[in-house]
Amino acid sequence: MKTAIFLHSLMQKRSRRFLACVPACLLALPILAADRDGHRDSHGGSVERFNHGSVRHSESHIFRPPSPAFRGPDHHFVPRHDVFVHRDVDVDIRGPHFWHDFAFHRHISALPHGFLSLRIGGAPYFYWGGIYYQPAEGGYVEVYPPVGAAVPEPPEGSIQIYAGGQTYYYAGGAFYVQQPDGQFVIAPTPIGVVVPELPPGAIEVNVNGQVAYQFNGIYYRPVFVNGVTQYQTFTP
Amino acid sequence: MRGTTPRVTVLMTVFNGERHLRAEIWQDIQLSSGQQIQAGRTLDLQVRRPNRLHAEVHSPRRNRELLYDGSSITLLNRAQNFYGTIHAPGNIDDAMDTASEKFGIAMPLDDFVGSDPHKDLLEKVTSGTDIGSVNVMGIPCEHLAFSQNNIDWQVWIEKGAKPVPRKFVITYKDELGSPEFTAIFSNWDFTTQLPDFVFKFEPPPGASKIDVKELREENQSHKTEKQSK
Repeated sequence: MKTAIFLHSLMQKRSRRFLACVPACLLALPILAADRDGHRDSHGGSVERFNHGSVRHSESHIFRPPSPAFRGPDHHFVPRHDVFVHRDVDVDIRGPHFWHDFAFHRHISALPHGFLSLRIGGAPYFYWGGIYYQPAEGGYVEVYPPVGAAVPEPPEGSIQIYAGGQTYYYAGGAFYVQQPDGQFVIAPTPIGVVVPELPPGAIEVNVNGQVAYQFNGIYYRPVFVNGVTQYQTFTP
Repeated sequence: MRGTTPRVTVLMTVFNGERHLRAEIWQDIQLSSGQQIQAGRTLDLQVRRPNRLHAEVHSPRRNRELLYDGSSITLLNRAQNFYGTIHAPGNIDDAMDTASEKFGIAMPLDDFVGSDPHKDLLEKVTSGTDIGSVNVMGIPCEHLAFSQNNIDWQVWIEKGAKPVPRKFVITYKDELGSPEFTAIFSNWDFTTQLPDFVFKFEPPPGASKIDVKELREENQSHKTEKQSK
């Protein structure tokens, strides 16, 4: 019946070429069809439709959170929104960034060119490209991102995450929040949020018989979100 | 069996609702640098109507499996050896709806595993054109192009006694850059009997069961704990 209505509506549009090709499609597609039981009328849901390769789900709702306006001076930083997007492809779309190479307590003899000097809780820190350093014998060591550190902009490749009414910029295991003065400060890690990738250097641990990961005292459990593996912060 | 011819009806009886196919999938994506590339993967599908489905997605770095046994859907991340299960009674159509709309699980080419591909594909079409004859991987096909409000899609259907799709393209017109999803089909097999064990999930050695989250809201709930500097 619906086919008849469909064809009728097309005839009204006088789409002659379309009518010519429909029989070919009708010939082929029923081969794929078999017993038809029930109806599917709901095509809603918050699905990133682009990854589906589906005509049927082509009108599914897309998660596309608003991009907050930055305050302060011009920023070249472009936040990533792909945390909301299902990426079922064999490509690391985020690409490697400097902070992906973080290794706790790695020793370096000289700081990267253009580093920032910070003082947090009275202790000296240095920052460049999403990695924090502290002085050590003969140079510096890489350390975990310190809560309270303030930088002009989030590290390149940060992922925007909305949680508890707050916008975070997640990179290298740190959650940055923009302040009224325009700076971005590392906030305590929100517990219960899902992030698309583990912090670099997170180590696998066993928590109550379940696999989990630990980074800077924060635990992450793997979960399937949109059909792919992501990680949720939790307290054991 | 609307819209069928006697010849197709006979084929449907012979096929008995079972099929096995392989598809090579190419998908336009944008890297964080802004560069456009195509990402590829292969999909092996085994379907036994009305309520059995086995899909394997292969790529050099990521392999995953989706199984439906008539009562639940199981996801397996082979690379990390994680699996999770969703309760989804009913048939394949119901399971795909649950997977897609409740859990956001993308099942590529789900238009071709449902019970009525004709309806799923043509329901929202507003216009169409028969482009003509062309070979796909050396196989003579008829090239059909259709348009909907937000997408254009094309299908290349094999000419002759086995009119199966050989190529399928969706163009997302309302996405930035109008990215495309392309599938090249091969290994259509309607004769091999698919036994129950094909659709039964057995966790691989050492596999960990993890939760399958329902679709996230934009604003996640959370709490903040004290964290040492």
